[in-house]
Amino acid sequence: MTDSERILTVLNLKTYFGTPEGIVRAVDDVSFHLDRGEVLALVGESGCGKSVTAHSILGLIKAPPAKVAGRIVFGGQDLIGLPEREYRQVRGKQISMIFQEPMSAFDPLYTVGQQLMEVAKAHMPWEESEARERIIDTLKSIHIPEPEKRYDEYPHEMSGGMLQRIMIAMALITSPDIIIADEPTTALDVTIQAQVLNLMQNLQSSYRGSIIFITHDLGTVAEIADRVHVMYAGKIVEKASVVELFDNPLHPYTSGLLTSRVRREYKGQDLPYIEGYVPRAYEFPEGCRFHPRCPKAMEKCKAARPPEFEPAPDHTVACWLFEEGEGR
Amino acid sequence: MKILSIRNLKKYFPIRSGVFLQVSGWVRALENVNMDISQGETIGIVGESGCGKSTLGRTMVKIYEPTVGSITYCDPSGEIHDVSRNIDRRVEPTFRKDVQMIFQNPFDSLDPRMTIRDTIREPLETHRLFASRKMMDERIAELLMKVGLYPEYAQRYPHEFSGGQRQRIAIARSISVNPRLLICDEPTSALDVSVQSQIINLLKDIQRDTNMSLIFISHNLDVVHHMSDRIMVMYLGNVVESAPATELFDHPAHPYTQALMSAIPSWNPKDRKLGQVKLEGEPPSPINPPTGCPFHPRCPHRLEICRRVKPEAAEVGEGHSSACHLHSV
Amino acid sequence: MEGTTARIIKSFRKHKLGVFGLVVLAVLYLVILFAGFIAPYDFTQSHRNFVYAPSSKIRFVDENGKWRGPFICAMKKSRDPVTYQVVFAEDTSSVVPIKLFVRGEEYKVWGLLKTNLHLFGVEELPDRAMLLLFGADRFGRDLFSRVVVGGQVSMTVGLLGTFLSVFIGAIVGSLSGYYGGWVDVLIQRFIELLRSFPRIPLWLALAVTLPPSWPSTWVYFGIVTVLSLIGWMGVARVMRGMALSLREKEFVLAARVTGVPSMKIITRHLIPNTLSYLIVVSTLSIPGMILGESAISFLGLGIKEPMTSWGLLLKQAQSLSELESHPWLMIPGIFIMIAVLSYNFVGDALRDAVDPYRTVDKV
Repeated sequence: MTDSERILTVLNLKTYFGTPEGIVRAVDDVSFHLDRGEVLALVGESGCGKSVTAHSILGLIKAPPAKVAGRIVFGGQDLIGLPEREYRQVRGKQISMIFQEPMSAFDPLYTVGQQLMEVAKAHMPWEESEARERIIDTLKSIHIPEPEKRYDEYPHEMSGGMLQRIMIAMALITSPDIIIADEPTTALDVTIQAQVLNLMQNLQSSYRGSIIFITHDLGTVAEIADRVHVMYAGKIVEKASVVELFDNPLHPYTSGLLTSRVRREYKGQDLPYIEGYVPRAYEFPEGCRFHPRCPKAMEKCKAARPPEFEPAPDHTVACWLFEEGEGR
Repeated sequence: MKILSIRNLKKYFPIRSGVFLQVSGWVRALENVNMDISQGETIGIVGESGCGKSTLGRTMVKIYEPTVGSITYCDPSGEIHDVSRNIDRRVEPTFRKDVQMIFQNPFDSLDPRMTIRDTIREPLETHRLFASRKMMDERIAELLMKVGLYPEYAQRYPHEFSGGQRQRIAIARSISVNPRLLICDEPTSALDVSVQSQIINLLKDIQRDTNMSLIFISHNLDVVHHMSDRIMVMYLGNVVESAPATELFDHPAHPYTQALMSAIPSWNPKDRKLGQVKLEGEPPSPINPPTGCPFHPRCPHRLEICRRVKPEAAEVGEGHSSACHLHSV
Repeated sequence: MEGTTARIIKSFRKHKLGVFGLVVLAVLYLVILFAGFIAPYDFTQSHRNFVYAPSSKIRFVDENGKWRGPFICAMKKSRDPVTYQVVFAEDTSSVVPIKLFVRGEEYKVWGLLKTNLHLFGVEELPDRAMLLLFGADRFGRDLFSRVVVGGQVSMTVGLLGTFLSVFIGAIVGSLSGYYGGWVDVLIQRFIELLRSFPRIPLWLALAVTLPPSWPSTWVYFGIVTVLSLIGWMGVARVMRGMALSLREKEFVLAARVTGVPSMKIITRHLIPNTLSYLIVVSTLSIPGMILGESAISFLGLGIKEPMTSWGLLLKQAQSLSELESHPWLMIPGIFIMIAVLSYNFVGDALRDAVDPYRTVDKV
């Protein structure tokens, strides 16, 4: 990975919210980077901070009551503290986003063409006719049937799967460096999910940017990601390449997630599972945040937060089991 | 003993418009569904959104009235009653006690203004199962423990609980009256991955203890396979295939079932398979279903006849039926 | 749900205008609760020496520059030799001190106890000097006392009327939404029909049906009924919408599946879950009721003498010439405005406080 170009570096990102229940440390000291052309998956369950991380990168967190600290380095500048006017140049043009609910991401009062045009005009120096041509080309490139007809249709005339693909097209119009896809297939049926994932995979060959793929579903991660970061309760607990993570999960949470998959072999037996529940954001436990649910918890885990250890090259894990000399 | 039998069940929802709500069309949610459920058995119903699986579940518990067809219910004494239309006043309490349901969204299925105790007490009160309030409270404590929660939780409100805990409370409510049939409508799909398995295990445990029958509705093939003895695959309101769970997975006969299975992610980054999924297009609208076989517009193996004639279910193995013209070619 | 209630209160307290409105309303209701005691005079008693007298000047220092505490001067009535208009002049040599807890005209406390104790007033006989905070009307009745007593009608009509209309609206609306089908169509069309009549003429038409021979308390309840017969429709419509969405909620389905009877579902699940909405809508519809009563009374079809209300008091201010020479007759209008605004402020604050998008836990 020597010739890879680093396009995004997130350093010690902290996003806190003040709520009536107390301070919510939704993202707590998260660092990672993204190279050009790769698909990085952020995996975790509800409330783990994966979406908040994405929104922080896009500057969509309203401060106050929220507080965003740390550094988000993109294109040589730190995005944190960037004035809203300049942020708008980045957001939507250089970093674009695909949302989970395609139905609510489009305005029902305008045709999808008008909405795509709006994005194109806001960021690209195109004339109306040229923009239309480019939009239709983009729709064609992701195999949307009858793109000219789709252009003049309203969101409610399309299915969720079709809209999700149009949202992907919308994210692609400006040829962004990064596309952040927040659970893009969760609301879709399995067969449609397969189509959309397929599309995103094919996209990679033609499109030179990178994708941050946010999901709770390890199954889709296996299909699409190059590298995986597993998040739990506002922290990244494990970072590895996708193959390494599935072959050799180190963090007890990761292996718990992998084994709680419903396999055909388990029929007639109890399914393996992780004890307990995902803690709520204002009551994250002290020490390692996973320790109350961890089958391998030690005294140390209750007291101190584990730093990142690197037991194998390019494979880090935040767990005391892998402290020097203790690793397997 | 069959608890419920369903014959030629159809459910069409009227689309109404105009000042006096004239019917201007129909959503054909269920077409000719047949099904029998025996004591202790689990039937899985699988399909994509809009295939009618939830409508089927809701029609069985009479949240919806069937448009055509019959539902017969066999009470504990072995008497058979027709419950398709208005249920006989004498039968209704037994039926309502015997057939319970749990729902998909644990954030929606508990009344936010009622404590857990009041929530679980409601069915007990309705069916006057206990003479005294004290006995009722004891039963509530016992139920909470059975579903893996602390009895002290009874005085709390739903908003204090996580999704998984709420689903446990919903289960406690539904089993409080000792039903013989529990219909589970996507009970795990709104839950976190790590919590899903807990709920599945809990349902299985309860079933083992009580010999209750389950109808397990889900879009997740793996989960349905794990839960069920028999699986029905639905598409656009039709049951396209029905077989014992293992048989269905080993020998899927209907092209739609095959497509569904191929779309399950591999969980193996070295063997990615979604690129091989052949299924095109999306399910058509149930307002204007295609003629002939409902699956023909998307089917990779479609024949000329599929466009014109709707295939009947045909036996393709023991207890394995599939509605596809390919089997008769 | 103590948690939610606490949050609503906390959020309400942040709304400055809402808190202000609440304080004003509390003061107003306290005043009308003790109206007879706070009013310095009997509100029906006429004083022929003080017909259309302007409000008295409250002084502290007498002619000789001596501090005397709060006092008023006696009035001398005369006629303008040119216009023949009555003019009032102060007899600045007289000192009539204002005192707390004075004995004055008799009244009944809540219709039971007879007493003549007033919170404040002057001990002088009302044919020589009167403490007129807002001036007097054409029968020489103290307008302040009349405003205070009139508030009893105006401020409670809205409360009662709203209670009744929200009650009817909540029940009709939830039946309509919960049962749906023909019940719903019938109720909705009926509501549309009623609502297509212009509001004020309908009020008047209904008010005319109240027999003129009725005693004033009956008329009062008649007015309440008239107001709520029209007011329930808006509540019913929104309630229907909420019932429609609530009946699809899984907790309602779960209750149905268990065999809980429909009426019980409505009272146990539907109505409690719309309670916060109902409270907000009540608060916001009280001003309409207050204005409605004023309008009816202003047009002479509502509350009748000897009872009084702010609307009825305003009736005296109907002609421009009256207003020009006796501008203080407009004062009851100011009270209507204050009450209406306060209710609107409180309603707005409540609505913001219970707004689920702001109070729901976001995590």
